[in-house]
Amino acid sequence: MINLQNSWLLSVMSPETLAEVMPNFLPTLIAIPFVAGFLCWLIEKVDERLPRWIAVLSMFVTFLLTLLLWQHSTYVDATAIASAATTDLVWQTEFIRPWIPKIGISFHLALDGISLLMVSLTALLGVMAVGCSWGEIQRRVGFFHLNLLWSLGGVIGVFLAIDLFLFFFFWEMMLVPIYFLIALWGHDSVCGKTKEQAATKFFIYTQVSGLIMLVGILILVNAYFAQTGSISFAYQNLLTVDLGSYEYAVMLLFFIGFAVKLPIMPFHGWLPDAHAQAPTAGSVDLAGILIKTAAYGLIRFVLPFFPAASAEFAPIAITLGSIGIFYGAWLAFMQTDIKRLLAYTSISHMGFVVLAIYAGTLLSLQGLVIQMLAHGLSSAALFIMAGQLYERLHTRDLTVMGGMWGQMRYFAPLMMFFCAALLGIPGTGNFVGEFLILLGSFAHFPWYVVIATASLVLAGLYSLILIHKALFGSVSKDAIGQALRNKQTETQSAHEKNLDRIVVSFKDLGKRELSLLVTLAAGLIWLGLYPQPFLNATNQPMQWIEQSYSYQPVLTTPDVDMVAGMNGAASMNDVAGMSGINSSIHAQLPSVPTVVELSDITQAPTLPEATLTAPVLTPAAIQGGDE
Amino acid sequence: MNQLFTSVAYLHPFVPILAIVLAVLVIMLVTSVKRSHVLNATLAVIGLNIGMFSLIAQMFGYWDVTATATFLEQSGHLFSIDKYAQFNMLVVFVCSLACVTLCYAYIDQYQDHKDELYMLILLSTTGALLMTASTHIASFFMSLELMSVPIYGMLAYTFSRNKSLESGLKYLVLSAAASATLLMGMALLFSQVGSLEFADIGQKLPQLFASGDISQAQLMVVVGFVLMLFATAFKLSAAPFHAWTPDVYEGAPAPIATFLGSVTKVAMMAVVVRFFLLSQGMGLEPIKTLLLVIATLSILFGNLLALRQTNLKRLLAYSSIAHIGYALVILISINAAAPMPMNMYMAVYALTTIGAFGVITLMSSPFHSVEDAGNLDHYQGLFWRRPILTAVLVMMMLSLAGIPLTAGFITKFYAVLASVQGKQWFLAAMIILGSAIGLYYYLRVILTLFKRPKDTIEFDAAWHWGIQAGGVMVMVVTFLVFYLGVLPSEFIELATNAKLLVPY
Repeated sequence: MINLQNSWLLSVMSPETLAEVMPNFLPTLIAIPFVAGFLCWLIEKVDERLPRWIAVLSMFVTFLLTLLLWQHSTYVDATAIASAATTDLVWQTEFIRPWIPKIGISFHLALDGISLLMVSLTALLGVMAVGCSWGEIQRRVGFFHLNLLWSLGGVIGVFLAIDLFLFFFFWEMMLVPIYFLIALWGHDSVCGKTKEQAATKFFIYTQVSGLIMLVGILILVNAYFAQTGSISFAYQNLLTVDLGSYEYAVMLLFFIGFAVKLPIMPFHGWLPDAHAQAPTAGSVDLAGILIKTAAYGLIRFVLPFFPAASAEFAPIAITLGSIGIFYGAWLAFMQTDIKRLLAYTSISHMGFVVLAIYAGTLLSLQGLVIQMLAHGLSSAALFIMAGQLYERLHTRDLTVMGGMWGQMRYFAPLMMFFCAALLGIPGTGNFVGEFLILLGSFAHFPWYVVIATASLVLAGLYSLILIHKALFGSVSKDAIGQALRNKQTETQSAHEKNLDRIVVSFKDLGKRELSLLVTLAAGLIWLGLYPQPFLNATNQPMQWIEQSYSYQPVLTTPDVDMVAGMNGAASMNDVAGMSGINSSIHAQLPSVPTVVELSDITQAPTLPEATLTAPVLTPAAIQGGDE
Repeated sequence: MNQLFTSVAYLHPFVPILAIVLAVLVIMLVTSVKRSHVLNATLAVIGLNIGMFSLIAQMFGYWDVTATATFLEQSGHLFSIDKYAQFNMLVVFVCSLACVTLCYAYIDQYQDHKDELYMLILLSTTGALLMTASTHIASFFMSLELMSVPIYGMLAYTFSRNKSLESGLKYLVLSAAASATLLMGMALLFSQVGSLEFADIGQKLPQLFASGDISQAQLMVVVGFVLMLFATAFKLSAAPFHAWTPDVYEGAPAPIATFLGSVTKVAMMAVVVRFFLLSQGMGLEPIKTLLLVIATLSILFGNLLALRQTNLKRLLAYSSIAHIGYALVILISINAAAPMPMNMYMAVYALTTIGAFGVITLMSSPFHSVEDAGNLDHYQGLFWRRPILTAVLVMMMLSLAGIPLTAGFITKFYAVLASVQGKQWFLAAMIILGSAIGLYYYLRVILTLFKRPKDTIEFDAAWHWGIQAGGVMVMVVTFLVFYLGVLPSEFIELATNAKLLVPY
């Protein structure tokens, strides 16, 4: 029916009128989940099942809207342009209304290829999240869907908001519903932590990081005020701010704000608890979409606002990211709780994301998009499967599972497929993403890339242990039930106290469950086999980000360099993001005296330009080969 | 005759205040003829409404009083009804009206006299209104006492409850001590500066501090300011002068706690801002440092001590200490030209307090004489019985925590903005730290509301609370908190226009 409506919409509208209404799509994208969520709550009293239908329909309509937007966008084929001619900041569609004009805040939404893909992902996973909680959530259905949809609406807001106040508004707002999702419908953990504790921990971590970012935003706005005499929170205005010596500090404030949500290694404390103890829909929401907002924030705000400081900071960020890759992978391997295992794999994968962002070449940034989409789909699928397992076995404990291979016709192979996707088997989107990231980062950070590549072995390890423990072996369902009852004394949580009455079953996937997973699998395969449309969509905005990130520090190098002298020169090496290249040059010429280094730097403007434009050409070559 | 008329015209800006004074007199007369709870409550509400609407008429230009107002500025004066005073007066009016509304249902079944409570509330409101306009130390002190003295009576009004009596007595003793400290400070200041007018002091201070080395006179001025600061910090319940707050809040009848948390705080903060900015006391390094210490301690003590509270009234008392800390951060960061963040902060804080205490009052109203619904577990699982009342309390908690879609978010945003603009990095960090700790207990309250209900229900709101005056008022406040959080533009405009009149 919706399809019909849309085709009707298309046939009635000429391209001109469509172009006129296009901006109104943006607030509509945000409004649909909010309105539908509220409806769910109201209608709960009438009928228990209606909220589910309203929720799934609303997310589906949102998804169709994004497809419509995509269909009517004119993305130039990435293979066609290799020149840097169109590297300005261009929005596909914009929507502006004054909001708090007194301090230059407007309700400013804008859409480009990156945000479009992210919103589509959000809407798609929104459908999945509603779908997977169809059987799981039986209490307070309306209020559950209110929270779920509002959090999704908040996330869509984050992806579309381009006024920094508005962005912060959505950024903070999307957390409240998720807090309720975890605190009211979550699971108490086996090791005695209640869902309320997990939810509170998540909320405090993210709120504080948000406030730290707010200080950064306000310093930025203040600097703009000092330079121009007017207050503005608009993205394009704040891009012009010259922060001077504050830049590094403000960049750090932003970075912490995003790093907690991503999460990067020392800030990840909330993630395993929140992921593991959230209801399935909450986990899908968290792992699939929410942590992508942080990556989005880093490329949308941190890189363009603070190019020089980001470049200077890149080695530290990438080191943290690399530690996260190993740390996450290793801890994932050690887990016995299937959802905690999946949560730690997210930390590991986000390490790749950090590497991609701070390498900042077009290739790595393009890889980042694919990686985010693929990770969103695959981790959502695995969390959904973990939820389905829990519905059947009433446990998430890997040590008592097993024997499902052969017993469950569809479940086992699908699980195997998604595990394979998680470790990045060619043919899935994860492979393309990781490959592009590693390739694109190699020029700037060869050693980190080598280390990160080595970590893929660990990815194999945790994926295989998951498959092995959950699917193989010869454990009968009675044995699982018995094991659970024996474990009852150890597991203290209230939810599992009445295990005696629980029947363990190996019931295979129903049609609803199957269709959810097949959709996700299809998406992954599409990403893996033909990622070109996605790369086209993000090509132009990513080119702009790459330009604003990597070129500026190089151009400013000589001026600062003259003043800074010898010590400054050494650090400017890093600013140019060239340390890797330079060190490899010096490795070949060990006898070069240090004086040459200085002259080397003063010539920097010509040298890096040559090396940095090179990657712009490469994606075309690679993707051409892919077809 | 003509002259009489013109001099009466000079009173036009004071009509809102006079209306209330008249209402007090009328209620007193009516009470002496016939005691009728409904009649007296109605009279109080009418008086407040006349005052409020005449104020609104003056504020928005329907009733032009600028001519007389300028005359008053030029003559030597005790009060200045400037935009700043009008804004804060409006807030005081709204809060006071809310308190009277809450009082009605709360006190209705009280076994003793009920009418005097309204007289006390109106008297105290008069003091609060005058405080927001005080520009002179004498008027400052007189109106402060006019506000405080009735509160002793109000706190102890339900004297059949031990705790109510205790809180009244506690407040009486400590408040008197604070007043004495304030007087001492004023005296010291006057002895050196020779003036009692805020702006006058502000003009004379720079001469006094022109010389580099520390003189006796300078020392005495600083000590005077410090004493006054401590006394005001006590009235604002800022740490380390906060010890009375939780006890008094807990013991006070819920609507009176509402009054204490909203009206007195707004009025006190209004006069503090006016005094310290106009008299240039903020320019003195020791005062600024002390304020910084007081703000930091308030944020830390308030939030940390609230963490383990099991009583909602005590928890709100500690949260009020923390919020005064945030407000003081604003005070440190702003200057006399732009008191706008403070206007907004206190107005929204007062609204939120009314909402939160309003829920407590509604829960306790049918059980007035026994005890108030203070304990957190009285609220366990409230959501499943009273979803809308719960929504009100959740909204207030989120607003206190400063979460988007509530007015508290906008004011917290402005608090951080003020501290960043004032380059007070340490205080900005303190706001963040305080909010982090604060979230924990606000969330705990919210979670309690959604828990499985207890088997025995000790307290519950009246069956039809939603159509009672108090219930409607609380819902309107909730809507306002939501509205100001989403579309704050007009409100910001209003608060920005509420400029402090700087005579020099």
